[in-house]
Amino acid sequence: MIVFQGVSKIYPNGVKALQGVNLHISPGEFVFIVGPTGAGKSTLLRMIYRDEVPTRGKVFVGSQDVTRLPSRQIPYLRRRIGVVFQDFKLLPHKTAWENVAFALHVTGAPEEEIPRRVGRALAVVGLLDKALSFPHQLSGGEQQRVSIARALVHEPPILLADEPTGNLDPATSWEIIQLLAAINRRGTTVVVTTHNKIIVDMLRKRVVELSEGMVVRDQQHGLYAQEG
Amino acid sequence: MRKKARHLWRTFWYFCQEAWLGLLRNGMMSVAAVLTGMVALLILGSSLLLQANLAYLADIVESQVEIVAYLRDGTDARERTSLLRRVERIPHVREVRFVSKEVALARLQESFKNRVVLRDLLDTNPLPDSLEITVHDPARIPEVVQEVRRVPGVEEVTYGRQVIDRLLALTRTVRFTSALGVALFAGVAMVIIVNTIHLTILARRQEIEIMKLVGATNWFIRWPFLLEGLLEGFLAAIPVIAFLSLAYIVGVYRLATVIPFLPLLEPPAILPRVALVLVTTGAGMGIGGSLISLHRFFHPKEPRARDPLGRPRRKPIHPLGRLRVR
Repeated sequence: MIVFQGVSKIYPNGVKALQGVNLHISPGEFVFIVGPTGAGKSTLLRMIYRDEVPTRGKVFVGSQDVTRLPSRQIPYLRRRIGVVFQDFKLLPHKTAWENVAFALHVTGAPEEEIPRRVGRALAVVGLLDKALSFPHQLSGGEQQRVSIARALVHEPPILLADEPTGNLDPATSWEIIQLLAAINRRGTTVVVTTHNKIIVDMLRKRVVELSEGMVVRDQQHGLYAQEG
Repeated sequence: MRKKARHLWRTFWYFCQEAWLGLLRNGMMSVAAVLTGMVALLILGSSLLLQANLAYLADIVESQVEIVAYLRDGTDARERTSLLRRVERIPHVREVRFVSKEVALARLQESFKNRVVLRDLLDTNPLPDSLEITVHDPARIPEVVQEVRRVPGVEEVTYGRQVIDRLLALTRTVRFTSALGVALFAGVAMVIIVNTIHLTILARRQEIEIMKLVGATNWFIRWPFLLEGLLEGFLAAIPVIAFLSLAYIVGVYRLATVIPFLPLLEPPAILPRVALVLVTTGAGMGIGGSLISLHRFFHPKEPRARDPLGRPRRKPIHPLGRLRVR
């Protein structure tokens, strides 16, 4: 589903964000990417939805080498990948419903399908009752749920989350991770970067640890830090 | 099919709304862009009207140009006839008329009306006999003049070349100065449009980021900005067209009563063409400005590699090169 082959990224200012990363993520997996700030976690995610191109190496999504994707094909790749961020990236002057519908409007989805699909996405994240609230009327956890609903509204096979709990308190963080795990159980491949030790340790999913741009650990049912 | 059309229409409507919102959001900047655009288009439009009329005038004058061959004094009737025949045989000549010195004097007298009486001033007629020669094609005049000069008995040949040359020179000057003015103001208008669109892009940066994230195509993202630029171009063109049309119609009417013989292009013959040029130029300025702005936003220059002191980093020095220096 997602394959990194010898991927390196060196920024023009000389910073080496990734060095020779090899990674294979199968359909339906749940993967934590952990590591200190600046280890290259976000760069890794951004390469999957082609926000960043590696200096060397290849990145496959499905059977497609996204590093060689012509730029006019990028939007269609992104409709197959949902992305969630630490800062939610919601539009403040739109309601939860409108924020989710926005993703369909701007990709030219048929108008009559929009209500049904938005409703379903909001139901998945359990926020139908807050559909008409504006972001400032919602808690952080609720805002993150809206952004997850937006990421899911195209029903993508892949969901990426870049520090999704970075702005949330522990209890809410746990709820959000539970939600991501539930989405994963329905068959969506989920990749999460995080600093949150407790969550990683409780879930015991696959853990990929990055340090200075290199994969230093790739462990099934892993913990945040190396055992022993 | 109808569903598709409805969908396209709704998308287009969305773009228009966004463009209009962008225009309003930028307020004074949009006004400045439109006003500068208006100045550029006003210069362009008036210059086009002037040029078209000058060209029209030059055409008419050119078609009326005659060659006048003055004959040596004391040419008798027989010589005159053979001379006439010879000139008539020159290629491209349409008609040759003989004007005797008496007729010439009478014409001159007529042009003075009754303010001066030439008979009182002159005791002899100083004017020579002459031939008035018309040609089929004004462009052939120089050749014909050459030929006529070679005919014995012809003393001097003149033609209205100077008038035409001056008209053409005037047309060139008008064209050049107006081109300069248009370029200047169109340039300024473009710069302002680039900046207004840039402001709109910045104001909607978050929205654009999300649009790209959820897979909106680049053209979907660009359209509202292109339309905003286009709208500014149109808003500049429309009042200019209205103003110039009115001014031209009134001006032609006024001039026609004051100088009845001045040939002017009828408003319906010229105004639609000028309007078309103005609308396209306005649209071009607007779309051009938007495209520049969008290009700068979507393809920012990669920051150049810098060393820790912030100076642009030079190419890495080849290790062997360094060795060689030592």
